[in-house]
Amino acid sequence: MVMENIEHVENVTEITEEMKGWIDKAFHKAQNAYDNGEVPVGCLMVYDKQIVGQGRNEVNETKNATRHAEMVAIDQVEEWCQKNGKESSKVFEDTILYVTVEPCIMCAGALRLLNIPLVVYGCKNERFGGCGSVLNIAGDDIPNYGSPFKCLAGYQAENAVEMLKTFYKQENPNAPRSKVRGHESSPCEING
Amino acid sequence: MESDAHNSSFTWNAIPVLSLEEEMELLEDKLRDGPPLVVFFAATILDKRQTSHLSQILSATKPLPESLRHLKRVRSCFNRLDILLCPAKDHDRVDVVKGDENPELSKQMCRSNGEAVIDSENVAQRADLVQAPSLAEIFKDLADLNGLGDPFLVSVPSKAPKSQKDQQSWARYWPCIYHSKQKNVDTEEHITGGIMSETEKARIGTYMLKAVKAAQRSQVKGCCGAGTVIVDPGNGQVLAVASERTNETGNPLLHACMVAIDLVAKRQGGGAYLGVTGEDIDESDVGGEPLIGMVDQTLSCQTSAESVKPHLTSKKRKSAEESKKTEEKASYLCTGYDVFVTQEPCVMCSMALLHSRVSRVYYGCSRPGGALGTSYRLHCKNDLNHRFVVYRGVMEEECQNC
Repeated sequence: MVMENIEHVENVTEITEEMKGWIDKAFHKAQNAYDNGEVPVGCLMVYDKQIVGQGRNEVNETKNATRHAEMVAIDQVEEWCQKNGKESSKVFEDTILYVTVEPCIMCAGALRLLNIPLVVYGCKNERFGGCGSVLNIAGDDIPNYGSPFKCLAGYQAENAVEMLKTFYKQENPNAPRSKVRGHESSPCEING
Repeated sequence: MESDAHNSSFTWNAIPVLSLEEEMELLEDKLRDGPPLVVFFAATILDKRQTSHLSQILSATKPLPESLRHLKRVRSCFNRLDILLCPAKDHDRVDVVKGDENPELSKQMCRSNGEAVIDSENVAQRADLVQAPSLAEIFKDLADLNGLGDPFLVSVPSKAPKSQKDQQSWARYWPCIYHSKQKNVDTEEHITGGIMSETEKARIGTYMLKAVKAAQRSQVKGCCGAGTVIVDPGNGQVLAVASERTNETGNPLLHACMVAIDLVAKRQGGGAYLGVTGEDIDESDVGGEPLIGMVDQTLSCQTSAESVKPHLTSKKRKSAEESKKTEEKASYLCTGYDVFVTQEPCVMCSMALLHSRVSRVYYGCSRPGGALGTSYRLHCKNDLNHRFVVYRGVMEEECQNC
């Protein structure tokens, strides 16, 4: 791990060894997305030291642009709660999300609605980031919209960016060219 | 525009939700009652055969500033041609600079322009106020300007017109070029608002009524949520009718928009929510029986909808088979589709619609935390990769009551 490139050193000091282990696992999911032609973002949801949900991008597979890794994992947590006789609203309040890329505005909204307290992510999402990059859905005061959540960022950031760059070099075959910006920037669409 | 009698058939107005910048501009335009102006030096072309030659020289030596490229270089005025020389502001003559910055003077100039319309020829030639410099003073190093008369001051629009209407009325100051924007967005209508045709209102109302009904059905199931309808405006086909499913499923994220987006994905051979189905699309329902407890305007809205119905259905019939064949192949997410929602979408739903690349969203009532106008304006955020048009206030009362 190249520690010099980490953006928020003060945050990284708060990321524990255990957290790093979870993030590393989330990267396996991201790799799985990549191998399946999806934008390489992966995540885990951990409750009481166990994985209760995991996901990777499924946008192309489902033809549904909202099927980001986080949304997939959230649905798994719902299922896990049903199987284990837990009340999902309570479980979400004690669940930490580990995701390779900063959650987008939509996912940040979903995480608020579920009252997720903490998100640990790798790299920033300059195109869609909802935890400070484009908007701060994580921290803003939004009426009737769940609770704000804390973010710890930067661990494995370079690795996450590298995966996205490699993915976008081969371009998303399903995405039409962006009318607004053209293709000048890369990675151009971080569906994370 | 149709008759006044028709006008009264809708108690609601579809109000465009603009970006903050557009809103400010609109406000300024309203207050100003005319274009913002900037002072220029111009001269009459004495020998008309020289026009293209002079234009070329001036374009090369005194190109119009980047922000004023909307101005035509030459205007035709009473069988006379005038050509723009250069902005008066940039000139180093003290009296002119003063004149331009003197609010009293600018006001006078604008007023004389505005009142006298074309008669004034928009010539600020009051010798007592401002003295225009001679050609030699403006073009110190250019000798070949024989074909020009003495320079005079003229007030020209400092911004590009946003509509054809503006272009026409601003021509009395100086002719401008007007570029209409993207085809799927009726910028003129969107910016100026309030000029939506009755036919368009009837179309919108018909789809919104479906969303209202879906929302009401969800209430029967114990939800208090919204209803969403997604339509392909190309053929008028309803692609998804959904209501909020949070209570029923225990999943707090199954807002109506999320369900509707997945229903469209299912039509395209994808989809993620296995057990979650949509409301009946029921094509024949368009303009169908009135809702219990619905007020008169909805009825009249349906009546007006009848006038567009034959047109829509014939189109629909023709393209129904084609569209079914091409739907799986050609469509990408919700690209180009219209979305009708009873309530302003939240952050999650608004961004979901943006990710899905919808082209227009119509909603009934605003709500705290809404992300298409109230807490955020995601649809017109410059640093996001897709923008879409949003109208609020569609059947607001019915949407509020459901």
